[in-house]
Amino acid sequence: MKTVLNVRVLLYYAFALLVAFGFMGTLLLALGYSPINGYATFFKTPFMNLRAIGLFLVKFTSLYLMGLAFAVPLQARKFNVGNEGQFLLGAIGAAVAGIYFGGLPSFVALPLGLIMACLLGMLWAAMPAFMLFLFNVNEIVSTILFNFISFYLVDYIALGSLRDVFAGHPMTIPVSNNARIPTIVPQTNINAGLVIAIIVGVGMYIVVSRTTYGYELRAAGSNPIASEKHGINVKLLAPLSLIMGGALAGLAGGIEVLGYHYRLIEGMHGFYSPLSIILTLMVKGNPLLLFLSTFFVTLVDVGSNALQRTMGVPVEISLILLGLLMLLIMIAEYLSERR
Amino acid sequence: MASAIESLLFYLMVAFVPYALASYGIMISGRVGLFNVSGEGVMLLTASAAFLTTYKTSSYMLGFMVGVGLGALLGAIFTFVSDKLKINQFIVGLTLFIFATGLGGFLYKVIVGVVLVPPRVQVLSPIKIPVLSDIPIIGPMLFSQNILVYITIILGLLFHYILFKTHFGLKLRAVGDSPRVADVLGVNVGLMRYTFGIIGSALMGLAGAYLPLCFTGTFTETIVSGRGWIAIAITLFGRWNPVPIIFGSLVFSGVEVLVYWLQAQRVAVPYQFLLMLPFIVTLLILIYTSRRLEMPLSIGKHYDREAIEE
Repeated sequence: MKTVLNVRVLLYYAFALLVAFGFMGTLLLALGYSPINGYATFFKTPFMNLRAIGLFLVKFTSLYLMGLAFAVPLQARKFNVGNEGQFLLGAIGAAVAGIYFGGLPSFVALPLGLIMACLLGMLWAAMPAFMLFLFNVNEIVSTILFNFISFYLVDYIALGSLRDVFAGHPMTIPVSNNARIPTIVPQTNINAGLVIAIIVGVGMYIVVSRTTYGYELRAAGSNPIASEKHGINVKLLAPLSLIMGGALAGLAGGIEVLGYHYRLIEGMHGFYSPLSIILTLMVKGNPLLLFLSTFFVTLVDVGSNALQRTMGVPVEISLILLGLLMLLIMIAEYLSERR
Repeated sequence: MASAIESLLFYLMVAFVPYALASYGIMISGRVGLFNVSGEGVMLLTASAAFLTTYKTSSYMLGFMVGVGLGALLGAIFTFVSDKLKINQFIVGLTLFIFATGLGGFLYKVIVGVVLVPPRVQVLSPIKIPVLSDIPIIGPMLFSQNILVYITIILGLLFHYILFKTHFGLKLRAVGDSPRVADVLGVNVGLMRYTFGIIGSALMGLAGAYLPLCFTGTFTETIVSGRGWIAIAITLFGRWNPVPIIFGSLVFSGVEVLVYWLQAQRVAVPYQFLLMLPFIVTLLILIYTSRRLEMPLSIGKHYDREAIEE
């Protein structure tokens, strides 16, 4: 993993940040909003009170695991854009298990729900992984196609026999209490899912940077031909990393259902997938630095939602801001490597 | 019954255009070594911007120009960042996809807002070709269409002619297959990549503008619904050749019309599974295509003229 941290690079990053936020302010001004109010809303709302912090951490958990689901295959130069569909499949798995097996005691029902989430996420990634392994089908296109299929699957389930008929929006009935992830701070949404995400993240860091599997994965990504000659099974490693990513995205969906919504809701994936792609690319997939970039991107996501609620600025400003920032980072890196 | 078939075939051609235009765009960029996967986002942005322009000015020409112009601009950014800054093309493509998707939705919400009944524009009216348009069935299908249908077919044949029958086409393909050889032969590789990186993305922009102005008459956030990604599959299926891309696009517009028809027939399958059909077909086509996959040889690779021969 190339070291990202040195003073010059940091300076360029800071400059990129400044330009991106400057652009956002200009955009707000051009549209007749007050940029000062905009920035204040953006940075204050997420930490306004304990409830807001709770929501922030719920989103942080999902975004971090989604980022990890993109980061692990990225080590092998595979782009798991399908983490959206895998997240939804995980959510389906957790919701269905949490409803049907909710009668079981908590120490069975909860792990069962999370395992179902991981398994369905894996299954959803396994299909494009097999297509990559057997037919060399480009994973970007195949995983995205599976995303579209998953949207309709969610729609089918949320409007099917598990539908909550009293809700206006398509969603299932809630999962049983026994299947829910316990909250760790009373009166907030902060739940043990955050702890799971942190443990998994540190685990993934160790796997990627300290084990043979991780080494081979990175080697396969940086120089597939040389790796093949040294006996690394590149053809098998890349699909495996996709399946691992599927489990992580599925876990994110499972945690969001069992720890926050307590049900499957259509559209619950929001912008998780595009945001997770950007936050991973920003730190080149390093699982530890990912904590940092996830914190920042969660701030942007929650801040943009607050801007929409209080000032009527469309929430898509998060994608514009982060897309622009990513382009600026590319330019910054080019400049810092050239000098 | 005859009129039902006539109308299905008519819509086969209407739905064909965005697939074909977007696939031409991917194809022609690929032919100079650029694999641009931002199409889905480019199409959403240009659909939004073109719709808003035509809605506000009632000028279709202006709407199309805005769509094509924005497409070209994104293509210039794509080419600059991937070719000059030497960043992985998939990473640049995904970033632009996300940026453009955000901007497209943002513009619409800022200008129109969240409304119960979305505003509409009249879809571009057909141009009837005298005599030929009176032929039953194929008349309405082929000779009574909006102007973009004609342009799309002609464009495909033109691309075929340029790529395979002219000296310029030979140079163009050389840039995609072996930039070093092209360079030695005196072709300006950088200029070629910029030109067709921009033209390719502009074609995606035209495809995006087509959706609200000629097809749906309105903008929704799901207006593109995967066409930008399916176009990549069509391009692979067509092995980066214009004429097979025309047939590939017809297959997908056929599936789209079939889904529409099945829904109208009230078949006993939940509609969600019908709507999955195009994506499942795409996956099957990708598997089928993989057996004899061909790519421009230098696609995705940076060209550095000072580098020592690898």
